[in-house]
Amino acid sequence: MELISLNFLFFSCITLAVYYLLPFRFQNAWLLIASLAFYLTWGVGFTILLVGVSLLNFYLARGMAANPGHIKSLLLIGLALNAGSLFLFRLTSSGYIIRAVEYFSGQPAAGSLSILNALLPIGFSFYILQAISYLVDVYHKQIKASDNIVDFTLYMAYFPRLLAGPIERARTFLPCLAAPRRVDTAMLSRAFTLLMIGLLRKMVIAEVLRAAIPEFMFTRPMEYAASDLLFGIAIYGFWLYNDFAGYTGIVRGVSGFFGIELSPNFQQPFFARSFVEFWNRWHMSLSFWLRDYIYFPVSRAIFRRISDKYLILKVFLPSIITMLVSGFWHNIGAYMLAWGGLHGIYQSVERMIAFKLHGGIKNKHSGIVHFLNAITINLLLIPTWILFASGSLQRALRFVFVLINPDSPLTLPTIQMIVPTVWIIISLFIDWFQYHSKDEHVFLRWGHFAQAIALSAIFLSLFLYLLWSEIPVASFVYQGF
Amino acid sequence: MNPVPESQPVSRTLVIDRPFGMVFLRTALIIIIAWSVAEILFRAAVASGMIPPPGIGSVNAELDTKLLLLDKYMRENGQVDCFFLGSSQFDEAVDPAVFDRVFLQESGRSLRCFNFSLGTMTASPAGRIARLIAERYHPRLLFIGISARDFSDDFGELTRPLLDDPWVRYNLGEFSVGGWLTEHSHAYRQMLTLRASLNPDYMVFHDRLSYQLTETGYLLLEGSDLSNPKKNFIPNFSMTGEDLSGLDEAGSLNSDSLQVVFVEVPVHHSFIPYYIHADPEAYERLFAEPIKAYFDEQNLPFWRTQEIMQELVPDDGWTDVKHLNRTGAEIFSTWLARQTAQALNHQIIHLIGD
Repeated sequence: MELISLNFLFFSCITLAVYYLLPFRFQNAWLLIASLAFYLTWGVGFTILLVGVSLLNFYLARGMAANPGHIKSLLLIGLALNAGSLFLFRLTSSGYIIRAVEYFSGQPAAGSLSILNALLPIGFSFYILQAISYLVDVYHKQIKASDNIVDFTLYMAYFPRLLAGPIERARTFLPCLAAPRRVDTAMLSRAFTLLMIGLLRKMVIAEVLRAAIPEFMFTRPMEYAASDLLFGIAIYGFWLYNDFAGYTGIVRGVSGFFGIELSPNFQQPFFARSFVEFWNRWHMSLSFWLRDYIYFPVSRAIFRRISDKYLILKVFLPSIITMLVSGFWHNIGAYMLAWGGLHGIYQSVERMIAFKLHGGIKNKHSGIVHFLNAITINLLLIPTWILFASGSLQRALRFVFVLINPDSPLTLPTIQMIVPTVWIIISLFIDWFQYHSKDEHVFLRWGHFAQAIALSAIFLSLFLYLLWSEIPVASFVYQGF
Repeated sequence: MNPVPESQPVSRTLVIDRPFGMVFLRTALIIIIAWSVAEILFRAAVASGMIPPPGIGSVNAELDTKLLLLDKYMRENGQVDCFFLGSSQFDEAVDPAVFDRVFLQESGRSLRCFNFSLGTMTASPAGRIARLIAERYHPRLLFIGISARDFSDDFGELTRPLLDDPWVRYNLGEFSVGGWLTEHSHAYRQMLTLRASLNPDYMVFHDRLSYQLTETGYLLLEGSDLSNPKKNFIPNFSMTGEDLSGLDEAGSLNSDSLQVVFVEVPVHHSFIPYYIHADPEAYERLFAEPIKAYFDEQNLPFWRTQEIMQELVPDDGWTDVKHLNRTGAEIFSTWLARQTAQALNHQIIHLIGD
């Protein structure tokens, strides 16, 4: 069941109506049933795997709590199983294993080996990070091992966030599942605001931008003028942002109607003044997970083991390792490692410069310096978008070759630029309001008339988009991860 | 999260303060007022000639242009009696003005005709568009031009998508909000027109058509270039069920109130050996003879033109090896009008009201 579909709308409405009618003690069980039913529409095998992973981690954590003497061994077993399964699925879904089998056997793999081409179950890489963080938090005694299997499985399977996050933490999510929830007018207003802005971003802005990106710019870049490619890659980041931030807004809005507020995933990333700040604003639930479970432990380990003589290693290694893990999490391939590596280098160089100049990263600048920093960051992001979007290192290099080829024509497609540019400005306009007020619900502080005007514009945009949409809405980019 | 302290009893989950939904009410009012004002302003502007009437913003600039031309023609001349429908070959082959004039001379009867052919039309969409014309404009006579290329999946890029167009589907009896709004709302059509105008491919086609189309929908082309690429034009020819169902649909419109006539659209004789499978015999063997047999079986009139046009149309009557130019169209339209008059006289075909 796709998120943008009438089926999901009916499903959510029915789930919500029953949820409101049920007494609190049955609500979590009902949400779990609904979540598993939702996931069943994506595949029975996927659902069995999700339940299996949930039970495994639930009992591993129980075991860790009950056997303090074996807590580290059980943690390592848990980490190995969770991370190992993600690694295995990444290998199979990328086709590496079947290619290796064919290489060593010297013949095409037989039908019985098709299991080696197994797809990565949708949402797997998101909920497996939740499982890992849960075990680590239990190990560090930041949270007690859950004794409620319904709540824990719901933490893993909660349907609004199941497909592509946000990645929640057990230490905040489980206590809230244990408490009664109240959905009042203020909560409904916040949820509705998130939903509306999410729909506008995902269904209108992202779709307009997607349509403006040359379809084959990575597979057949030679067929385009350099100016087409430049325009395509320039709007790629805005498309990805609106697609994923729109998706997150929708699921957070839907979840808000249940009285469960999910973590934010984006906070106006294009206004970031540094790469570190960018990652604190872009896919935040993943960034914070990587920070807490990769960057900090790696930094601590390096600081303990390496002397101050090698400051450069202390600065570079944690960022690069963290971003390489991020690259691997997104996909296995040289291009994703290059993407992660480049982001790691950006952050490390930025830290080195900041330490040399100011003794640390400085976040207070005048308006013009802020603006110039943001522009610089966005320009430096372009090579990372090329790597991220290309799907292979070879394609990325071919793309760059055409882009910098002096013989390639530079005639900007002005007419095609008008509509995407207008929608990018609208996207930045929404961001600006939220950034300026430091409140994503700033629109709720507007007068009723202004709210009604804004809502009318959003409704009309969605209405027109739905009427004009002759092609189905594309899958979310992050569902693939 | 929005947890409630455990000490505070919760009677129910959903707690709504009143008044609730005032913003939605205002939103609905704003949308209704804004749309109504836009509707009134656009209608007034079109009525006063300040802005041109809006198109339907379909994927096909020629359909949009021809619909506007047809509306204008009907406002000035009244009901259209007969339509021509086919691909670009028929678009450039029939000048309704010539047809009307010759038909009047030959039969003493007056007809008002319009060429509704659309570039890239193939047999499958032709059936649907024929039904749309019949149900929307109630003509007495419908000529459908067919050629071997109408039965190839390699063509139809601008007309096959029309089958999914909301306005087309609405006019074929399938309700949709988009189709209803396109039919009834000027404001919505203006938005569709604006949307289409931002598509450079659409606008290039639209601008070209604006000076090539006559007021009766004839696509007038001058010049002649008979250079023949001598390539296998349709390497994988077959009459698929989908295409034949288009002919079935068009044929089923033939009734007491509407006479449907199928017409073979000619190509230059030098092109025939390369038309299908690069086999000189294939045109007759795989297309002309089977299609003739198909229409005979359905008891539908099918007029062959290839041989006669080979004799009548000089080489400078062709724009290229597949399309007639103004000279060729004059000859073809004249012949078609005479043939129609004769067929009526011999009661091979009929016209309602005769």
